[in-house]
Amino acid sequence: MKRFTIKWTLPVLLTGILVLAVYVCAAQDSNSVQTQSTPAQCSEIAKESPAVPPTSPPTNAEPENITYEKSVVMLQVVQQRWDYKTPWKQDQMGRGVGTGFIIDGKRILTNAHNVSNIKYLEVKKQNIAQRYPAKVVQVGHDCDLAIVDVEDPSFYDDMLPLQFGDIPAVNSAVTTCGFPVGGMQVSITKGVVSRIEVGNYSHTQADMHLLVQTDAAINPGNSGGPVMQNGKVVGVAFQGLKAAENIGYMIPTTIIRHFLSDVEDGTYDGFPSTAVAVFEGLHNPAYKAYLQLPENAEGIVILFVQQNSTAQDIFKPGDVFTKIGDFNIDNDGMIKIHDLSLDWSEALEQKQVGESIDITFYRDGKSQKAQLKAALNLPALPWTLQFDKQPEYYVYAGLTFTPLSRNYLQTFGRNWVTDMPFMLRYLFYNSLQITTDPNIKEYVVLSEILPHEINAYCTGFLSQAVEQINGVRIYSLKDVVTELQKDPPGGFHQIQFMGDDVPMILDAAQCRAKQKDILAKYEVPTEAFIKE
Amino acid sequence: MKLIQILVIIAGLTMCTSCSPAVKKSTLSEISEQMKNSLVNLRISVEGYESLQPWKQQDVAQKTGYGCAVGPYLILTTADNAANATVIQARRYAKNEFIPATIKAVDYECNLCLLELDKNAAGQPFQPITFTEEYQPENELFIYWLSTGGHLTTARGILDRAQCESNPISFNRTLYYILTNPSRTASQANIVFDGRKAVGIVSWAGASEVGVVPSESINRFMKAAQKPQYKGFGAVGFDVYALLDPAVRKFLKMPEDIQHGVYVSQVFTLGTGSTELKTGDVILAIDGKTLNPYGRYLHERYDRLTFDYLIATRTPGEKIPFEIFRDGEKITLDVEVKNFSAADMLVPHYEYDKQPEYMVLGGYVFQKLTRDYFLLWGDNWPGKASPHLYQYYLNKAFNPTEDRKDIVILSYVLPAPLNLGYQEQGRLVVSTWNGMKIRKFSDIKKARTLNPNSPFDIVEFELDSPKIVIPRQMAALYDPQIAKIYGIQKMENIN
Repeated sequence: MKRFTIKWTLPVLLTGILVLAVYVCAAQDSNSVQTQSTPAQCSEIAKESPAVPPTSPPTNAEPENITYEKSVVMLQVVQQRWDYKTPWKQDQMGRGVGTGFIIDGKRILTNAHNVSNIKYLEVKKQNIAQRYPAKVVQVGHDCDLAIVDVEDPSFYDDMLPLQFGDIPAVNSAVTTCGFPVGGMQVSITKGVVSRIEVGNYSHTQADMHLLVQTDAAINPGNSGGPVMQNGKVVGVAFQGLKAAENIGYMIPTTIIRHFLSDVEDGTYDGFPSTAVAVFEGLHNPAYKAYLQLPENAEGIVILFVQQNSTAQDIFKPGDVFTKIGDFNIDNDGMIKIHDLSLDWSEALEQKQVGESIDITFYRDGKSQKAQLKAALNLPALPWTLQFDKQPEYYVYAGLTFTPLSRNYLQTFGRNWVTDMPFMLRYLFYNSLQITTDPNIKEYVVLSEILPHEINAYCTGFLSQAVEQINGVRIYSLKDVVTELQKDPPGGFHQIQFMGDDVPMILDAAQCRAKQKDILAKYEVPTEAFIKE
Repeated sequence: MKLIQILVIIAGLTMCTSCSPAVKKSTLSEISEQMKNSLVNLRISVEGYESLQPWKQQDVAQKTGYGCAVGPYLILTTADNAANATVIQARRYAKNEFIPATIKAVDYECNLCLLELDKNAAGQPFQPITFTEEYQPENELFIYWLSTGGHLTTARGILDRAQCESNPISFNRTLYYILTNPSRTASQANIVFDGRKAVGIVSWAGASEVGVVPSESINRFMKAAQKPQYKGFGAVGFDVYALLDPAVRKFLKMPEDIQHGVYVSQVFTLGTGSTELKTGDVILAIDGKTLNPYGRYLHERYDRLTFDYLIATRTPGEKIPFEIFRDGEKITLDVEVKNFSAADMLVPHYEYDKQPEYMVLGGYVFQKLTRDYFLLWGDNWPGKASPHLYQYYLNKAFNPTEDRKDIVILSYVLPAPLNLGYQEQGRLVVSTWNGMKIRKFSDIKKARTLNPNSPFDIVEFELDSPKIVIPRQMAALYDPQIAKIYGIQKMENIN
């Protein structure tokens, strides 16, 4: 789920800091260094935690030496990202290894980051040579989970689905099982649960969910593997903190269950976002008195309500949320849920898109109730990375326009946050506040210029966001296409970019005449790719 | 005596270019003799204010400066030596005593400053240097200064070109002579000679290039400094964009035969042209000089110069014709030369010799946004600074209006019990105080008197940052404690 807090920049800053610190655990280029961990070891460990019999009786007699580790499989993937500057092209290819495990319904659960932008997927069972081609059935990028299915149904014959447990207690023992770097056999590590808090899921870089931290070693390759306690899965291992020692993370079962429940209808909707920014203002007695709140009131102050969201018109800045669902909100914005003290948005995390949740709040000193409808509430410039979708684009006179995305911004390199052009940085941090026009659907950026005499003077406009074309405000890439395909008055297109006083002038007749040549020269298959 | 001198000068000039060491040495030693009575070494005590604690003066610092006499007790040096100077003392050749000096005139835009020496302490009058307006590119020029150790020191450089540039502290561009291949590191306010003629004073000195303020700027400055009120010189009030694209020319309906002219991309609210020009104008000529698409024109002496020279050499109040292309036709505008100080800017480029405006109330530290403030983000501050603050500097620094003269910010919060909950706030732009729009820093004073019956001061910020509620009574009660804890002697400085 995505949420905003007063540390505004929390999702944004975290991206800069954490993206360096946190790595996802899909190993690249599986090697053949051998450090064996034998099946005998695996079954010994299984014995330590008493095996819980499966709730549904097997259809066939269980094979003699079946163990739960056998339900853990290796994924071999080939992934290829899209090029966000010239989106008819694809970017680098990478091979990787990850882990997955069998769950009910003859499916394999793994991490989304293992199978995002997938080009080829193979599953391998332990100690069996056969490779099984597979496909991605469902993927939830915002929670880094995915369901994979093997085409050959006999694949599942000798494997038992793993069952899910609850959120493990801090300081309780857990075991991971997976295929990390350093070998080809399954690898078991053991540790305790260190901490449970809401944190950043590094796959999309700006989704915040409950994170369970463990010191059981989680390394590249472990991603997608089960973390076990008392014979049940209590998490999916998926990321770690590079700059630290022994800090690995798993996705808890509350998230997993939300994901599985979501995909029951065949479509993944996602985690809802509160669409409000909050401030822990009630710590200050003067502020509390100014808000005309009773002495004992506790809660969180709303600073900002996102435009075009399900919160718009229902809540206003200045409202003080005191209760969400059944949970009372304290002055730090925390609620008691899952026997833990967590951010209030965790209550909304439990809901599916389309459901509603009650909010009790103060406005002008009076307590009232309203319902917040759970929805994605995506902003026009999302902070999260995109996957699996070819980016839309439009090439006109060699000028490549594409919707502004975090993926595009990251093409500015490792230090993209400081290196990107100023206007883009301003938009990235503050688009929600500086753009008050409710019609805006997305920002459009001039991502690349395919050189030609017709655009020879346009280089100064590269990487700028389009504001208007011929006086018409641009709200989406479609608008760019519409305007540029018209015959402008005077024969010249005038493109105004955000933060720039100088317009780009294009001779419309010349551009139209050269369009085909430019597309052919740069092997652009179609001049536009826009989803209807 | 005079005839011999003239012959020696002629001989010196004709032989200087062939670089015969014997002649060079004699010129050098002659000038060195003269310089003994013209050069000074300066010891300058500098004290500014801490940028994040403007109630506190920075640690006392001293720096060395140089200069030369332009009158019996009048010294020419660079403006940088005057910035935040508290005590300036001069020393002359072969004398140990410090001579107190006071600032007579300073212009940060052309980087020049005149100091007056205490006559009694100075003793014998100095030998003034006359600056000759001479430009001989490819000549080897000599740089002279009096070192801190009392040595007459020289360096050499080749006069490479003249160009319009800003100096490290200015926001305007003026003319500089650029020397390349300096034989050693020179410093600001060293004097530059071409043979026996003083041709300039060093503005900046790097490893590979030295920027020199030429005689014409020095003479112009000194003349203006003689007037009872120093008026300074013209400042540019607009920004330009190279008009290279033929499509743009067609779009602007410019006739084919006009291939020159530069595009006006932004018009400021300050400076020359601010009231006459409009965005989209194409400036074809200034004062009869044709501008090329880059905004440069051919100067009979200096080859290609940017148009800034035509404005920076004029005094405010003069009128200059601007030939422009607007709305499909050529027109001539009578443009008045204007200038402005850094303090007039929406985000001042610099603030010297005065304590910055600030207010500490309830632990909340309010400051005025200036260019210096951004330095707290370190070297790459354009990349790291808070974007909302930075866009004021980048796009609006030269555009103050009646509606907005200062950018007032809540810089940060000094933690105290009465600001609990707000202590993480900072770098927020104030929009209103008790409902009153804050247009300049001093508006805060008036705003605080509003809503006298309310127990609170309510401060609102841009971009939906939280309101700050300051309990008036509590703040008045606790402010002395906050002052004591954080060592603040003066809780506000408002003009």
